[in-house]
Amino acid sequence: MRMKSDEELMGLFRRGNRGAFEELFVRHHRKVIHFCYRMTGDQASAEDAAQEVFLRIARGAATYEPTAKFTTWMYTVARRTTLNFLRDEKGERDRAAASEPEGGAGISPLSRVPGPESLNPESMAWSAELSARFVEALQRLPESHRAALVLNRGEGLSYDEVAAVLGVTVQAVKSRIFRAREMLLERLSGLLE
Amino acid sequence: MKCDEIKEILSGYVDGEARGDEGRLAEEHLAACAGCRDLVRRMRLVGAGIDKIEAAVPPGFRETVFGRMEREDLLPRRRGLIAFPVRWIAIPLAAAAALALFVLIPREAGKVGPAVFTTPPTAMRDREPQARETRERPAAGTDEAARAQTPQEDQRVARRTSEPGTPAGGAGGTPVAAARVGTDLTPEERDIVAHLEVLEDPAAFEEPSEIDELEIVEPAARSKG
Repeated sequence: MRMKSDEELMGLFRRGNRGAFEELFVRHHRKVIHFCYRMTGDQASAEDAAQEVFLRIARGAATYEPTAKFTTWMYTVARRTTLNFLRDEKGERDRAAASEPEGGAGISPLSRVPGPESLNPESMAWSAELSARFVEALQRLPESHRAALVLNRGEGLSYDEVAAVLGVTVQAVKSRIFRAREMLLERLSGLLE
Repeated sequence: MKCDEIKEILSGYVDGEARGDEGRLAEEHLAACAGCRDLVRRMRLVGAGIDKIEAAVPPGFRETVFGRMEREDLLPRRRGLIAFPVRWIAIPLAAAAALALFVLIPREAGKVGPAVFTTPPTAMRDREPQARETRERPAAGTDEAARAQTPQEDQRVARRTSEPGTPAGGAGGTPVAAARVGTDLTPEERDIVAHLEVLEDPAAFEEPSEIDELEIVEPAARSKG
């Protein structure tokens, strides 16, 4: 029997088929939670954001246009959700920094993770420390650049699909990904020799 | 093309997104530039690193998400185990009922009016075995039925209930019902029963309009002899 496409499943869910949504969840929940983690850099935030993504997908099912690719729409929702989380967290950090005494505040826990000066993801086992360095470097990128790079390299979307998610031109995507790479190469220069 | 000018093209080339002449330009440059070959290698490492960043999917994540969705009433209700059978049984039942109405209504309608049946109506024929079965297995607690255990007693009960002046059939019975009590009906009896049913219908009787007094007054000539 032919497997139903994501778009067909969304159509079924809109018509009241609960199983269709469960199938969509099974197919995509790992991608969503990984995307949220790559965007927020925090496991707990990624879990909360991923939950919110699926709630928003369910709430917005009526507005979903079957002509649009489901994953494009899903990542659009996911990106907006993580953006909201990041804004909320930034607000909280700013408030916490304003109330804390000098020293200690504003330093990301990730920046304290010790790591060797020269690591190579291909030749070395992918360790938690190496992952933490990557995650931290990613978080320092502008959100629009990080989203473009993560969607392309992490989620496997083409430049056209990334452009659709971000609502920009393909040329803008190309430029953002290049700039993101340059910044990461600079920050991870010790790791990627 | 200088290295700084081609870096963005090389980034697209690494992602498999070099379009038009960009692919050819990138390969020509890489063939001649060791520095950019190393840059491309490191660009690929960045991509591999991002791909390896993964969150842990917490146990119970699905239950948490679906629990929230249930609370917000975002999920269609689960269908109960009985819902499916009821739905699938209701359709054939409705079809059977419609078929039964289609079969019975035209024949029952034929009974209306002064038509004289030479054979009992279908419904009556259908009911006859049932009535016979009911007679053969009298209901518990009915004194009359409890007494009519043997054929002789059965016939006695039938005679008693069909006597003139006796309320037919005991409690609430009609003459037709009384006629049924006892032995099985012959075709001729069924014919009579069919006529009786018609006669039972009050509409079948014509009410006398006005009594003509002349009809009940004896003619004078005849009284004189």
